[in-house]
Amino acid sequence: MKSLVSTVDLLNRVTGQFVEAQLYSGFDEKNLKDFESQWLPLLAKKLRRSTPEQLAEAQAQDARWNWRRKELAWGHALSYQAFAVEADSVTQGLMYVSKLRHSRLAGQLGAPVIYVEAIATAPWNRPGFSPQPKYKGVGQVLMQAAISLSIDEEFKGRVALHALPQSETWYRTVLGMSDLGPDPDDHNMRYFELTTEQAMKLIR
Amino acid sequence: MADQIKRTMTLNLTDAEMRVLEQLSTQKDLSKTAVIRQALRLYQLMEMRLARGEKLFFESDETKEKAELMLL
Amino acid sequence: MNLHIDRAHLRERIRRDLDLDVEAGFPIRDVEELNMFAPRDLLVGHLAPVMEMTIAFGTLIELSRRKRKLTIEQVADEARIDVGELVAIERKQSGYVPKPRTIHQLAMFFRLPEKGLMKLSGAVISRDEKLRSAALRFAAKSAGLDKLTKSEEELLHEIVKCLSE
Repeated sequence: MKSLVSTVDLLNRVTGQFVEAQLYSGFDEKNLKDFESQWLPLLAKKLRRSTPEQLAEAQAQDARWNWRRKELAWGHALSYQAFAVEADSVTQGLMYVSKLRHSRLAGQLGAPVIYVEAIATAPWNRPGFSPQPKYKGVGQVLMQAAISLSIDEEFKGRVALHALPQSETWYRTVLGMSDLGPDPDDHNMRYFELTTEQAMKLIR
Repeated sequence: MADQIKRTMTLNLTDAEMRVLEQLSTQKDLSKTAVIRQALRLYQLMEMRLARGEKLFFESDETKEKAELMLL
Repeated sequence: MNLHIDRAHLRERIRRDLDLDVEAGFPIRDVEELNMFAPRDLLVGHLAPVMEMTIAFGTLIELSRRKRKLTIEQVADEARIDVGELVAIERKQSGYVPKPRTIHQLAMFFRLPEKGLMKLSGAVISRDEKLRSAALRFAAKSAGLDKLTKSEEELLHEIVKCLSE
């Protein structure tokens, strides 16, 4: 069930002004329809006749993702939690997390983490995808949601994820997460973890 | 917001079960309630996949051999 | 649930953050996992496995069965899978994606590499170009005959080798 978590602000890169946005926990039909009618056509344009390398270059590797199917599979599972960011009555970002994964970091091995199964911002917001990306901050808002959920679940702010190649710098440098390197069990995508200490720095 | 409301329940556990709950609570640095929540999430997920005809395995890291966890 | 960061602080962070992409999660793996949860009738149509892979998969199973001189019923019975599913697989029904459990059982029964078989059947969306080319060659060259010819045997051997890579 969808519920409002908080009113937040996104930066309109064009005007340089902040606009009000909403962070929701849970998806509804509107979010799924926005994905299908607004995100997908843009992503699909790049998907047609693209090799995986071309898709990576176009920052559209999630072109084959299907958020409706994620919702179908995970919507009723206690162990998964969805988040959506909306502004101008349009879905600007989506995220699904899992509550059943554990830390791989020495010193906190086996400690429960909020694992980001998937996170994506609308293609028109992506610096790598659009020549004039619109809203900045969707990723930060969603990560803050993951950290807050982690704290509420008693996971002490710990978050983990596998980054798509174009996002590694964001997680390593901007969020200051620990980079545990390429994961051979998961397509060699780089695995990142946020420790409690790193999480506390981000929420202050 | 209806499913955010929490209800209270009394659990009747044996000494052995309580010891396990306390041990997990310490080990995972979670409250006993949080441990029970994790157990419920895991159980539900397992049931969902078993219902699709799948099996649950543990795989040995060294030998890569799979041993069946549960026969249901 | 509440956000643990102050609204003003969040605005500041967003203003200061480097302007970068944030996407994370698995483009391929998510499809595999979702197969295992979603109702079957919703998968057909959403997945559209590559045609040559479907033909190759069906042919591989058929030839493996015929090599052992077994009927469809016998295989279904011994591998503990649904007869209807095996018929659909061997019929190379377009867009049909078998259940992961069925593929697992077939892999065990015919002693075929499970991971490769998952890709070939379409249960796992894969960008394995090498496998796809091998599947295309296999699909193009194999034909339905009563007894496996020597060239069919060779073809079979070749595709199995590719599945293990």
